Amino acid sequence: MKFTAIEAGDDLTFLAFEGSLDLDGSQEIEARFLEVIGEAQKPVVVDFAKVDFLASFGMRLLIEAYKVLDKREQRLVLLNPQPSVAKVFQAAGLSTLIATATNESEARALALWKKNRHPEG
Amino acid sequence: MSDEKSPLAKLRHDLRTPINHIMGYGELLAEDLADQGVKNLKDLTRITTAARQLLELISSRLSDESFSGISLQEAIAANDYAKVAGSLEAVPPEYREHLSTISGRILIVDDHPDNRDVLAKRLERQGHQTMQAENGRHALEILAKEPCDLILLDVMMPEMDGFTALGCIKADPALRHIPVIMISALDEIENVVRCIESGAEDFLPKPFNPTLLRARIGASLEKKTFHDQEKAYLRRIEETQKRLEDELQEAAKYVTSILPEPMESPFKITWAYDPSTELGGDSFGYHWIDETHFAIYLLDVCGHGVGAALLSVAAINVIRSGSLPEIDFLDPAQVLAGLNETFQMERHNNMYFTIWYGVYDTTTRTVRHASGGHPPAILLKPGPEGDSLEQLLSSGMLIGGMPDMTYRSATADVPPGSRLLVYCDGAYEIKRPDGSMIEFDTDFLPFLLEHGRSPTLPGDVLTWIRGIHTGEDLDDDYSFLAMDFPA
Repeated sequence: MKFTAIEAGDDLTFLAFEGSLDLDGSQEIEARFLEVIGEAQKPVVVDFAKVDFLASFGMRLLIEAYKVLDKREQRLVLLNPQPSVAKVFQAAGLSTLIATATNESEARALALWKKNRHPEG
Repeated sequence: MSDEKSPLAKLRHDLRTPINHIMGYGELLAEDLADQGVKNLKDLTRITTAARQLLELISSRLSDESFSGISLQEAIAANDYAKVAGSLEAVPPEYREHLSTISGRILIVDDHPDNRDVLAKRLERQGHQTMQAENGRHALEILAKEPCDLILLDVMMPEMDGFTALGCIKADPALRHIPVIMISALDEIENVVRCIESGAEDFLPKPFNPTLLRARIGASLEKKTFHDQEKAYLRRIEETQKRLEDELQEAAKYVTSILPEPMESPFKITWAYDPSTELGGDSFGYHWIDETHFAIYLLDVCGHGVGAALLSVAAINVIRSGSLPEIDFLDPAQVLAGLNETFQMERHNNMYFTIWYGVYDTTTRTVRHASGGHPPAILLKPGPEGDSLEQLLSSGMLIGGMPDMTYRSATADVPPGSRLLVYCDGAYEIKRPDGSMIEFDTDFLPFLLEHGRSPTLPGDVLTWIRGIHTGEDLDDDYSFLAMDFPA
């Protein structure tokens, strides 16, 4: 499993995962992933095109990222998940929280779309 | 090897013994006088010097080789001794001090009472406790009863000599850790080498040089102390490990014990459970909620091991006992929402779980079900052309991920003779040796359709995926339930 952080402009953080999102080497990746998201203070697009397996660890990662961003009233968008990964994502109920996009401009638009939230939220 | 002493060697040995006593007692006396403030010890020094000259004469003039004019062995031995003694004199005083601070129980084994006496006096003066034995046999008797930190062992003794005693000590698991220092005259160096090869720690040449004696004994005792500490640590680690293993076994027994017994009627339920480590994160159960409603459920905590097992046991007990306030356990969506509020991951060590929960109604012959991030249960329905397969899926968020999630219940008809299959993702998320995963739709479901009616299906699936995975143990916990409805 690999994790890369790619900065895309000033308005959003662009990240990519690669390989199996399972328990191998998970703690380090979890920490780095959340650190990047925490520091950037921007909406996040995660490129999932090269992820071929999403297990419980990967789901936890996405939920944690979602929670960090949700507090800042920012969005997390998944770009191009493979069909098998999308299915697991859907079955885990994550699609109700995290939007998926099939191309970069769609992902960008979704990520930058202002959240409609309660003032105290 | 010079096992048998030549008459000349015997003479050397016999002459040396009283001279060694003169030197040993002379040195003790000198120390006593020095302690009392007497500074002029010239005469005493003359006596010990004369004795030393006598010893040297015995070595150089009474050796076997000296008759042919060469005493090679003696020369080498004497040279070695001088070097060793010289280097030890150069040991910094603070280190000598350090060595002398370790004291121990020392067994002196020598057939000559005066030899033992002079050595015992010196060692006691250095702060050690001493015991004495007059031969190897006597030494072994003492060692069987008394604790001992170090053995000073003479080579030539009646009844049982130093070789034999050393062999017995090193062959005895209770004694072999005690360091043994051989005491011998320098012309017995070959014997000493043999003893070192048989496990003796070191040797001390006679006559005893006080500095050398203190240094070697100090070093041996220090080594023994480290060794004893190491053994104690090792024992503690082994005990801790044993205790943890026992406790893990206990916990594993408990986790398994709360799984339900297979059932015969009115539904036949069989299952297989195979945690990937001692403690798994899977758990499942079934029970009658009332006279017409039967609940069946399976949950899978992310990860495995102790933490996952604790959460799975806690969650399964909540479901089994129906102890969620104001929740109607006949409604799967309510149950999942209640579990989701109770088991938020922030309060449960960042762990969450997935669950499939179904309630069969015997009056309507329907199953109402909901899923919290769990793979669909499978309903095999009999038909004129064999079974058809229905996936019982209602996508809901996994339990504990986010608060305030809503879940949906779905209902499916259960024709007579149907079979319900409930399982965790460990049943199909299997890696092939080439790294690819088996597919749910094109591998797993066809297998279930083909073999779904096997009376031993839960075990069959496990055998099948083990065959695919090959090599190492499965990465994830495995659990699989099959429930047969009467025809």
